[in-house]
Amino acid sequence: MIPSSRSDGPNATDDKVSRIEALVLPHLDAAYNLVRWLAHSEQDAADIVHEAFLRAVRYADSFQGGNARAWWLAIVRSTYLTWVSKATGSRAPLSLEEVTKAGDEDQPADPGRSPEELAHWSQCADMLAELLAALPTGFREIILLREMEELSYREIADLLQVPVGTVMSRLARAREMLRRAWAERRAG
Amino acid sequence: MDCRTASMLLQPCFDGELDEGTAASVRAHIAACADCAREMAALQALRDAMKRSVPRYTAPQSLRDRLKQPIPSAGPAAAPLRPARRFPPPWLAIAASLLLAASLGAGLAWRWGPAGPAPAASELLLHDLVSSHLRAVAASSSVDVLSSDRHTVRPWFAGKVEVAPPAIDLSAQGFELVGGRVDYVGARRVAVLVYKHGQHVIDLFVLPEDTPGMTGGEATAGAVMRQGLSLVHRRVGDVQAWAVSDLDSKELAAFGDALAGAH
Repeated sequence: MIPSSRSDGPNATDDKVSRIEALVLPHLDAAYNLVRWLAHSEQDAADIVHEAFLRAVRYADSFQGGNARAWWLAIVRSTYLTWVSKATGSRAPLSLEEVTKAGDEDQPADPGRSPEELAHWSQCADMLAELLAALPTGFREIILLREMEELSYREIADLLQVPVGTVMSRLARAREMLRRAWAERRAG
Repeated sequence: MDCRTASMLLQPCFDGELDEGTAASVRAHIAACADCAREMAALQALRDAMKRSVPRYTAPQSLRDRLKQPIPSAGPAAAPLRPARRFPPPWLAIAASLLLAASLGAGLAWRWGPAGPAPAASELLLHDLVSSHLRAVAASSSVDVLSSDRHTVRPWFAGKVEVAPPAIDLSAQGFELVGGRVDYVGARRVAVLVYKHGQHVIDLFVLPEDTPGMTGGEATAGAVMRQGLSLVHRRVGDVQAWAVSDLDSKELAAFGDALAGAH
């Protein structure tokens, strides 16, 4: 699986570039959107996607068919993780402590499920982006992958390299946290 | 379908992850249950609101222009983030280690977390077992190797899991071995033996000794209940096992005893 160490000639590189362009350019916005939401900065997001593109070209051979978007987003995410760990020296860049904390809470989840809540959602929809941006990264990421990129549990599990059960529980918590944050906002 | 099971399956149903039969029974439940119907409507409201008001960023033209530039095969560094080209680290190895770290983190984060009064590892373990059981029951096939012959089932697990399952024949006691599958508990792959008792499915999880949350030493005799399911822990020979089922807790305890006794 390790890419060969021979140096590619210019032609081989050109071939790879056009192959990768065909694979990933249709999903460039998806990649940029994901990283922009994770990294919070336009310049960082552009740098990370650019770097991910170079990686994709370099390791084009690792694409064995299948879902090109999921393969490409996995590279983008791993590039983002590298970027975070370089920037912070942190070993657990995706706020896993926060995942733990939130998991331990597990209060009976009922931030108000009245019909008024539903009506309120539409009125307060504007604050949703803000609340989403404030979610711990691991939760923000999973809800983006599901709701914006519309990936399946299996695709998300493969992308994050976690069991499907973890995807389910983390996604449920992410949704719960968003709704709870909204309920608190409404109360406050 | 009871409310607890349905509420567990609401989100997979909402996300289109259930097979048609299970989805139909969840929908039937929702039609009759105001709480679950509201929950479902709230999920839809969240999705609608996100679609409507969460901005989707599009890649700026400057980025598209950058991607069109020829990739230098040597010479001037193209991107600030780019690793030194002379020693290209294998992408797969980097990604794999990162992803491994991330997945271990996801599975084991609570081990690093503060050892406070948290519901703790044992509760998370029970949660994993219950989710895994419900997911398997919800899936169209909960069995990867379909066989009542324990001499077929046991070797099938070789190389797939850390701890080989005992695969004990309990048909005389009314528990029929129907097969097995590989599932996850935390981030580890474990063997699950699937038994049937009448219409009830029993998942028997065979866990490594050092599974976080595994109660060591003495197994408790009775069953614990979580989300309407019974769970029973037994030591079977030299392995640790948890049985999960919608069976009555006494019957499941009897299954556990038969299992422990048969070894």
